[in-house]
Amino acid sequence: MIEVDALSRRFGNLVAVDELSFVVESGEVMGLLGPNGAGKTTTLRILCGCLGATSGTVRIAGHDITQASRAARAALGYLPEKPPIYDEMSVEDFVDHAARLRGVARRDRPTAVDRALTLTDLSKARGRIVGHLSKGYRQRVGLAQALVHSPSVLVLDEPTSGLDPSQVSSMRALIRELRGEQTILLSTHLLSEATTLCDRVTILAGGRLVASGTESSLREQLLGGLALRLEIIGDPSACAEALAALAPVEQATPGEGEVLVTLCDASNEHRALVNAEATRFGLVSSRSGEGLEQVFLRAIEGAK
Amino acid sequence: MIWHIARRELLARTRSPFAWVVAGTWLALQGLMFTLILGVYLRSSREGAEWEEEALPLLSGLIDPLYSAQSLLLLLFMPLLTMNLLASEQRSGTLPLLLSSPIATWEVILGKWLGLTIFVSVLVFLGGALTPITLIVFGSPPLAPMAGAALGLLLLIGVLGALGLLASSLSGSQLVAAVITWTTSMGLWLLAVLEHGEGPLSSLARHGSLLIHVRQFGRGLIDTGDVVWLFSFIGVALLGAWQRLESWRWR
Repeated sequence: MIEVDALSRRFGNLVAVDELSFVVESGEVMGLLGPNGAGKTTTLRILCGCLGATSGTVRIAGHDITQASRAARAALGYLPEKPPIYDEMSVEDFVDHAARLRGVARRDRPTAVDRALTLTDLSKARGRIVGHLSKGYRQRVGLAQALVHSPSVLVLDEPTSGLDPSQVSSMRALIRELRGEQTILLSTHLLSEATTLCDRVTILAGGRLVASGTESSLREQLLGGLALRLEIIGDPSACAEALAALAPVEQATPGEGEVLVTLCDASNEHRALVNAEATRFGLVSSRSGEGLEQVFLRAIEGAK
Repeated sequence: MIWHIARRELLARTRSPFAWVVAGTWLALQGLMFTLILGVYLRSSREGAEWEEEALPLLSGLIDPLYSAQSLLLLLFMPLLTMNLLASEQRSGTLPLLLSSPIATWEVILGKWLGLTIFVSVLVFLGGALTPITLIVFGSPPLAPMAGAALGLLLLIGVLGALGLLASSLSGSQLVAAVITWTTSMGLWLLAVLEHGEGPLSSLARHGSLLIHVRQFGRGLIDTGDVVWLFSFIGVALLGAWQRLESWRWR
């Protein structure tokens, strides 16, 4: 479990994190979502004891990161954006080194290293020199060092950053495998990642929390009413104009072969009314819901 | 944990081509200096014998000059080996591994210093082993001064290692770290030129010069005051590096 309360961090006059509070429950996967400079990395570095906080408290698995720093750090595994690996070591030696640093007892180390290598699918590469590995493999090695001591809390800073699509997919699969076993907090600026991997998402902007919850609750919080995506054959601009004239429609935005509509509420009558009007313009499909992308952008705009 | 970090540091050195290039050059220069000093000693002894003068003592004719030469090589090469002690952790992004692990920063500092001290000591004593072996095989050298010289070199390695570690914590640039170590150690060494005379500068030189505190070891004289000064220097430099590493959390 991760508990963050009124956390702030200043760098001179710059406020990187401002009165941030959130809780990640045991076994939960939470995504820290935000644009560049939102304070995600700073927050994660404070959580892992790599950076001091100006004010506020952080508790990792019940241990205060300042008062009981060693116990807190022993309970967490951290993968920074750039994997902290020594290029000259072999994969197995490096993971063993990390196990020693993380305090794994000598008799448990071989099993712990094997488990981490198996989990990250590195068993076959255990003898290879880390510096000779591809970026995807290096990221796996970084994850293996974070997992080797079976921490109850796992903190991952943009774990798929810079990976190619197949590597992204396998890294995500790996994180999904860990779901439930560990409390995971991951930062990302990729909306799809937050949607697919996380139980809950916390959106940061300018160092402040602007919204937090599941994807649907965020949509509810930030958009209020229901959003519909109408795929049409006819002219989207004309369709949007016609739909905007309807009373329950708050906004109608034409797109390429589609119109995005925001309704004042999610009632079926209003939805049917909109669909009926759109039929005149060759309605092909009507899907409810804006993606997290719109929610995210709206949250960021709100924060500005 | 200190030993584990020292072991990794040692391993990193043995796998670094740069460290081996430095070590190779160092050993070559060490061998050259040994040959030159031995040559001068033998020539002086021969000339002395021709004039029926008393033979030049081994201590002042060979051991002390070799000790001085080794000390100068240490001053020259140590900055190159210490410059990346912490700067490389910063540059390569491995610092978060150390800072997020349940270990104290002073353990990191002591481990790194110990690893480097062992590496350089092995290098110096393996390379320098030629001197005592030659002396023991071909003569009967005074063993106590040789042991004193070895202790002096060991302490000098410790001092320069600690200074280099501190410099490496002060700058993320390896070059800057090397320049800081080199200028500081040279400055402290050359301070000895001011030792003769009166006034605060001479007093400062007598108390603060690195050369004054290490040179007696080469003559087989072990002064407790010098040993305490050198250990204090190591302690203060390591303390500074530790504080600096702690302060990284607040940058």
